Amino acid sequence: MTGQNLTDLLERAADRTLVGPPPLDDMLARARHVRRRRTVLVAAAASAAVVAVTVGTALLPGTGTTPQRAAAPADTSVSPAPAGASATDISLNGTWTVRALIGHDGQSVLPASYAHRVQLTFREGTMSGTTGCNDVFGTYVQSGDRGRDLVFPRAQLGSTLVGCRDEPPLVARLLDVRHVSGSGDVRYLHAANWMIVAELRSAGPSDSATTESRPRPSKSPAGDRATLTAQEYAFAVALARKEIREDDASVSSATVTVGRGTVTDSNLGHSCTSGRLLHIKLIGSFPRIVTSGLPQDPSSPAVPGDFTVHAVLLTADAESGRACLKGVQTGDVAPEPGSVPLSLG
Amino acid sequence: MGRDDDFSEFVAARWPRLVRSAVLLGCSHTEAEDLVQAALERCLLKWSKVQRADDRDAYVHRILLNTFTSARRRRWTGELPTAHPPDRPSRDDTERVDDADAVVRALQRLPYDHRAAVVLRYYAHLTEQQMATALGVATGTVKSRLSRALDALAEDPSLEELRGTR
Repeated sequence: MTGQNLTDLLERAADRTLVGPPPLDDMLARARHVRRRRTVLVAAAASAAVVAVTVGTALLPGTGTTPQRAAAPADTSVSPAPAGASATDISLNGTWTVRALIGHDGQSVLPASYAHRVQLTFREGTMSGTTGCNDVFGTYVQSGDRGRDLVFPRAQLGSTLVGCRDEPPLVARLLDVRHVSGSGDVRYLHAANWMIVAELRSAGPSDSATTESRPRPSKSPAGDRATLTAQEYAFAVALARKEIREDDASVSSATVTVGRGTVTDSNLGHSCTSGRLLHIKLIGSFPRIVTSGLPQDPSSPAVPGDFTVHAVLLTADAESGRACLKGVQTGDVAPEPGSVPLSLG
Repeated sequence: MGRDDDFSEFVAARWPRLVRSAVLLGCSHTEAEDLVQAALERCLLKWSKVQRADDRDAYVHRILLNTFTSARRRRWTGELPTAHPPDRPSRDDTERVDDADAVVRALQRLPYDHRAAVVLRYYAHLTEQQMATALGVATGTVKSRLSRALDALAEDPSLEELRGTR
């Protein structure tokens, strides 16, 4: 039997099958549904992480009717980078420009048109960034000797879904990352076999509070912040902005007070040990945060009420600018007397 | 051209041939349409990857074959209890069996790997390199599968009988 003979026979056999038009609308609709469901799942995972941090966390001292603070740690499924990283750790904190992105075959998958447009920002276990077209977001877990091991959990990794020609496959490549190396302003992300997946160049500090290379105004920008230094004010603004962004919040009031004290039983993974604390209060709408209500004595009957979150309270170390406690407030809320309003632009 | 437009254009051009390929692989008509639809939906979800693939046809055929084997793996082929025998009396269709039917039957007697090789080479007209990509094997394996499949078809009694009657 020759190839031509077989082709003819196959063509004749196949032609007996009458084929209708392709169900294009069905296919496109189903794909849209799946994409939407994936996006919702990613958003739900992010919300669940926030909820895990928030639920079981009581109000900060002096900010509500229940002056009790829960000691529950943050959800370990969103494992933050090792706290208290030493100077020798390979820190990813900050914003990085992706200078190279390498595919499975060792070839660049970063088109020239996207050069300098792909960025990633890492901050304490949370990753966000852009492919130059779509926003990407997720978490990362850094572990091992000097934090050399790095993974981006698939369940928390996602992106917006705008269609762009030649968009670099950033999320797909991040899923292959298993190690990190580098020093100074350069970091390399490696696959399990240490093949380089991406080269990152520092694009400056992250927008959240860091003590290094942050501009430090010598004078407070507002006259009524006599007890608040300019740096502390800047820390408070940065933390408030980050919180608003992460919670997709709409805030009507943002204030800060400064006080003395330390926090060692943090629910955000960082202790506040300098002895000086910032208490930031954001009042508004926080659609991504739900709470089962204030912590109650298990033996007492449940108290019905409005469990809508109306305020988020952050306690941060005034020297490092790192938040160490997060709480929520339901019911009636108001700015703390004598607090300093934050101008969030 | 947007992702959906590109996809629609591709589907419009390839749909009939993909459905018929699925029929030759062993699907019924409706099963073939469902299979191809499922495969193309999987492609659409990763269309940017399809667009970047060196050979789009080979990539889509690979998804089609994977979908086919997954569907076959899940299918229950054991005995089904029934209150009434499913057999129905019918007229003798022997005369309607033509060479095309014989080829389809002969194809079904081939092992799946060989059948897929024949369909991809002689119906989908993929090159051996494209087949290697679609089947996930080396080109040498493609050649040996094709050779064995052709040998088996040449010795298939139904085809031999057909040839003898013509």
